[in-house]
Amino acid sequence: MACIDLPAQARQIQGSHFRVVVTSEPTPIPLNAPFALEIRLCDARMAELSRLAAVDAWMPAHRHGMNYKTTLTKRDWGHYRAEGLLLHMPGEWEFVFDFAGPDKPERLTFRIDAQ
Amino acid sequence: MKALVAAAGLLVSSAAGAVDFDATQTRRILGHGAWPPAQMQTQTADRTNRYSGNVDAIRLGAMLFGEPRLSGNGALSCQTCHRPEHGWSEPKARSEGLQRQDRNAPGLLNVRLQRWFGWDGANDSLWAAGIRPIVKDTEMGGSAAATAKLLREDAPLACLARRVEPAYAAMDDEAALVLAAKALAAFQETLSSPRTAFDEFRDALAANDRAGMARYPEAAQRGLALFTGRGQCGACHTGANFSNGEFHDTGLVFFLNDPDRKPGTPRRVDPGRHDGIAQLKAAANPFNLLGRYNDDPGGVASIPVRHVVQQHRNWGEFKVPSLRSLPATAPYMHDGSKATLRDVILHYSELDEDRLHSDGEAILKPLKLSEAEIADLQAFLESLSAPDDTAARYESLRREAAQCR
Repeated sequence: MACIDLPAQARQIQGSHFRVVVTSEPTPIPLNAPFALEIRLCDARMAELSRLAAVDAWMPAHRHGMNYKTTLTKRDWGHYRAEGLLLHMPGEWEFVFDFAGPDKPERLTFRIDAQ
Repeated sequence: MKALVAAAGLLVSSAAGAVDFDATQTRRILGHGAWPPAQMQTQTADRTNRYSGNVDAIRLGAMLFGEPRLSGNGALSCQTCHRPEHGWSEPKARSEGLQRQDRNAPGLLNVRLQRWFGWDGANDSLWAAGIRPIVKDTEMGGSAAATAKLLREDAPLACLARRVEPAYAAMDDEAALVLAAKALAAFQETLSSPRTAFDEFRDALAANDRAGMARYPEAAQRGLALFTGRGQCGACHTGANFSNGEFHDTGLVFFLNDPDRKPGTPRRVDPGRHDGIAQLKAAANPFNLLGRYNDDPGGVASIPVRHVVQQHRNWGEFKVPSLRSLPATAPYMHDGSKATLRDVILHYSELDEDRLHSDGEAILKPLKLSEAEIADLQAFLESLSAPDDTAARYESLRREAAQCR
């Protein structure tokens, strides 16, 4: 799947065989308010389009995560929506995207400074 | 917000007077305003409460707030523990309803800004939070039936209830209880704290008004520098209301100070947020925002309850209180165990790290403050308070409401 016309503020993470493109609703990601993520798997092979299993976020320096569990829904091939995220403290948060697979799982991450 | 962030870059070391704030501190200070926040200026309605902002509901709520007939023994009202002259809290460490409670009555100023209600967040709306004390057998010991009867039979209350909801007399008891609770919430939404010396300083900082900044006492400026710097207090006490509205374990003693405990019985602990989530999400709870009484089903307000999950670290966590209008609400902490603001500051200065969860907040460290720093932090906290007129407005509302026939 190729991804075109991606929003300028989209965050891109390079995986082993595909890119993950993430946009938030609202943008930018708010502090201490619920938000959702739209997640697209780009340049992925067909077999990889259904592999996203979980989305989470945590604060490495604080050694804890969110107080909320994200729900992940598949909207289309290679297109997911994660809802129920809420970053309740300012500081560095790491978003974690876990991909399941028959051979080996893959974890992709990116960090933001939430203020 | 963009303008403020842009301003932050220009305001490094700009505080006229005792303290220079760096760019990070400046950004953090600006984040504690403006006050009042837009949500309060525009009187944005709580969409989950169809009576939010309704003038007659506010009057009905004011009447009910001081109404002892809501209680089982006819002697207790919301006002018994939430006293207007004490920041809508009370001077007792732990409240006494029909039995002694395990917690201190939280103040109610600016309560509408919260996401979760009660020290354990067992409720996700202000109106649901009003139901719990009315019907709980150890608090007011009232009932839905008695509340419905009171609304039907007391002339001023019936008059107001009819104005709020013309068909209220046909409601079943539970729906009438929810009507009463939503009116109570509509009233409590009007309880807001005024602008303070800190707010004047913060706005002067945003405007780069050096003369305005200089009017803020130097001790408060030094305390603010600690608060936004080494103290890292703003990690939890965020935003204009100085609270992220969430829950943390801050290393208080787990065991309850329990003078009623019988010899030989085990000491009790307060599970805090752990139990709050269990109560919130209990299948038998019809009053959370997933239930039929939410007037905005599927709305934004119900996102947190749909996604909150109980975690091990929630044990012993309690809600981060606002820091506005603190002096009137002593004693402090969920168990009222700290008599003064100085005691609270000393707690964080001498924090017992061994007491904290291994999977809890990793940035909590003893601040090891000097006497001068303790005094400065106290001066800053006191600068977040100013006299308010909510007690007088409450009495005025009750007088107006009593005329309804």
